[in-house]
Amino acid sequence: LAISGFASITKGINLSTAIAGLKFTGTATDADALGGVAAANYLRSNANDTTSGTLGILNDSGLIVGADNDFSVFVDTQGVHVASLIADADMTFRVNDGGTNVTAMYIDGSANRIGIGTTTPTTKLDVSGTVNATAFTGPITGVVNSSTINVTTGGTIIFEGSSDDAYETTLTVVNPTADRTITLPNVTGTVVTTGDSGTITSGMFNTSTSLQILSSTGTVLKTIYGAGV
Amino acid sequence: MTARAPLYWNGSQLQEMSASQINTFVDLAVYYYSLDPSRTLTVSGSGGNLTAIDDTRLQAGAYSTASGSYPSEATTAEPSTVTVSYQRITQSAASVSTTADTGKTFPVYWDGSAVKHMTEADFLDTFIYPAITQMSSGSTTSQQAGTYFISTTTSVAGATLVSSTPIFSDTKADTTAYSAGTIGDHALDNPTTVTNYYLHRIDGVLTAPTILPLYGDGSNNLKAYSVAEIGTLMQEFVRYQVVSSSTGYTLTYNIDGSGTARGSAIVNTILTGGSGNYQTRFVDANDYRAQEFPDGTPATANTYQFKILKS
Repeated sequence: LAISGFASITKGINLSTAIAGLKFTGTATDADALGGVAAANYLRSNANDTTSGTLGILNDSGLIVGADNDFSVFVDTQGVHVASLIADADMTFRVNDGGTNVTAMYIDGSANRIGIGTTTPTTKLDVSGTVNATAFTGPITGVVNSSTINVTTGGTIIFEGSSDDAYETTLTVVNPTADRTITLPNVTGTVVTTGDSGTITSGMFNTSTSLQILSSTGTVLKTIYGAGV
Repeated sequence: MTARAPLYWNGSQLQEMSASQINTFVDLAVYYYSLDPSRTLTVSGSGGNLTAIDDTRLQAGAYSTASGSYPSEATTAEPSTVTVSYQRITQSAASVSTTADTGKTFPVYWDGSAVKHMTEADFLDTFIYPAITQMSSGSTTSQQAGTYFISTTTSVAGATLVSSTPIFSDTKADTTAYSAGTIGDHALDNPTTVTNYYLHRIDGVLTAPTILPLYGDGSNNLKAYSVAEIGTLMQEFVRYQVVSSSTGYTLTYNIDGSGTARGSAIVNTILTGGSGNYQTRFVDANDYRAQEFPDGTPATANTYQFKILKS
């Protein structure tokens, strides 16, 4: 009897005791099953392959991708890590937008910055596009460009001023009972408040005039500036 | 004359007072003066310092007596004139000083280019002199409050009786007090009062102005005087001018001197036209009495006039 793939066949060996180091020798080029599972169902480790089952890596070291161990997914006591393991290597998160692969998020590995809508982030978070959020916390520094800022209930806008100290200027409003619009004039200048003094000058009136209050001897006691006719 | 038009706050802006509005403050000045006049008159029984005025009347001549027949009329004394002098009004002046002008003591006005405080002279011209002029008129209404007048009654509406002691009693001989049967027993002088004259002071009536002049307060802001503030300020200056004016605004009172008559003329009545009412009385054979009683008809011997003088 000849069986392809086996040089020699020894029929049935019954071992009455356990024998260490027992091996079958030969080349099983045509073996179609191992342990009752078809050989085709085993994943290859040295060639491209797929699985229709769930692939689990049930250890903390997780998954390492890349010929140079570029990318790793692992867990530790701090949680789950998705990591680029190559120095200064960037990470690109891409999506297929209507058939076109686009970069949805980009992490600059050398600068440690995240870009959304940009692959050249210049700040920790650089968004090229509109950001929508239900809340924001933390100080805003630098230039903010926006067509509308909606300060929600009880909100204020606080200016620290030139010195980071205990004193700030806070913008707030009396609770409006109807829609209000305050339009700043199209000029450069200083906004005058009710608590201000010494700021209003005759030059601030469209048609400047003054009214003097004189003593009985003609000494000027007070000059009142205002808009005249 | 530099009377000014004081400014007031009309609710939205400064406005000059009209002449009639200024007059309300002239009246206010008079009212406040009336609360404490600086030229005062008092009445006492005698020893006043206004000119004495005389009341004259007739009294019976001394009776004559003779034995056996009556003395003839020719030898019987004629009625004579009794003169009673009244000098019951004493005029006094209070010592008054005024507030110095701080430069913003007096109300403000518009000088054509600025709001300016009145000088003291402006204040006098605007309020004080008109008030004193008004007070010195012959009228005796509340616009002359604080000044005096003469009345023949003790009660005059709008005025206060200075004293129940008349400043003058006009008398005449009471011809009914004489009778032949009492010759030698009755007094020679039996007067009856024709009219008593009393001194009154005009009461003030406060008509609070509805607008108020302005002045510079401690911060040189314009502030409205209260009625009491402007009233007291005007009172001070009216009181001073009435007794110490060097510009012709003192007020004095006199009898029959210069000035404007105030109240009732003071009439001295006496019986005239008679020649003596010759009467006789028989007492006994050694005492035939004759006497001439006053007779005639009442007539004005002379008239005195109580006057107020602004000078």
